[in-house]
Amino acid sequence: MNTECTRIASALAFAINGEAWYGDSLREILNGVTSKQALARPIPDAHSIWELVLHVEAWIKFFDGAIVGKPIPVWATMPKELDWPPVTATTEEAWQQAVNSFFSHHQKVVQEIKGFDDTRLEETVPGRTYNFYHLFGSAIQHAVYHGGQIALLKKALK
Amino acid sequence: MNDECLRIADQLHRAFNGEAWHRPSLQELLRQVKAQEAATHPGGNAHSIWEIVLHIRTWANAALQANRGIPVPASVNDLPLEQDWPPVKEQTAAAWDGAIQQIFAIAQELETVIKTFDEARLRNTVPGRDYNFYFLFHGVVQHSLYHAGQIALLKKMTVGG
Repeated sequence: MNTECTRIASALAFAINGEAWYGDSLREILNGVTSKQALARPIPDAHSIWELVLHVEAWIKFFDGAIVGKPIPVWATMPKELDWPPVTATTEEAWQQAVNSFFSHHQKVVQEIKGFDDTRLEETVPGRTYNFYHLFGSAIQHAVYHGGQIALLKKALK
Repeated sequence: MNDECLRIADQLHRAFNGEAWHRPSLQELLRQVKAQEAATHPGGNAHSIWEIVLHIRTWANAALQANRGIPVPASVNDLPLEQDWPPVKEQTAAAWDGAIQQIFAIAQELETVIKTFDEARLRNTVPGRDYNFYFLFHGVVQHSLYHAGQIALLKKMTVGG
């Protein structure tokens, strides 16, 4: 049985790629953003769009690992560069690669959730105290939370 | 059996009141924000925290009404702007406290509705829309967090936190 997982997978797909209920999906928000805009810091002390994209991607990779049994690193001792990978390039090409990688990792997790068994939703996530249902919800919400910030940064850039 | 509904209600609860590892809840974000801070527009043409709070309320309320059979406006464009983004009328501490209390009361009411929602109904089409209640309930959670992320940034710009 994976009817519930199929629904969760499509909820993730809509939030990232599709027509989301809440407003613009990440795909729509990031569409047309240039490397220069992604590097800018229109809000002092706040992360740039590029940093946010790398951060959300870092976590979808942890989730991806957890699905196949790899424990998510312990929060308290996690090196900052795992949580917020530094931006090491500035070119348009590197930015487009970052964006593509962001979407392809999310797409991968969408596929994995689709194939996940509903009976496992209450199972505890490796390295964490919560279950897979909560993990999948977090994957959506974490991306959407920062998606709202990217939209605001875009507004601040104008 | 409505395990699935209980799980959705839990996600809503965490978005508004709860703890989540990955971001603060609205309760945590809005605690200690003062009326004056909520009313400022540090982001230029971006909405203020106060306006965002009223906007979150509009859509949480739309989900509550949908449960009672009242259609969700067919498109955001069909909704008068003053309902989608209600204007802040009086910028007093009392009005701000009232706005805060209202969104948490509505979230609480919606959480209760979802907890007792019939699981089979999750796949029913929402009045006025072409999607189902499952999509609507998750949508409210996401919508609230989308704007919670913005509130966190706006706070950084106004109160440095």
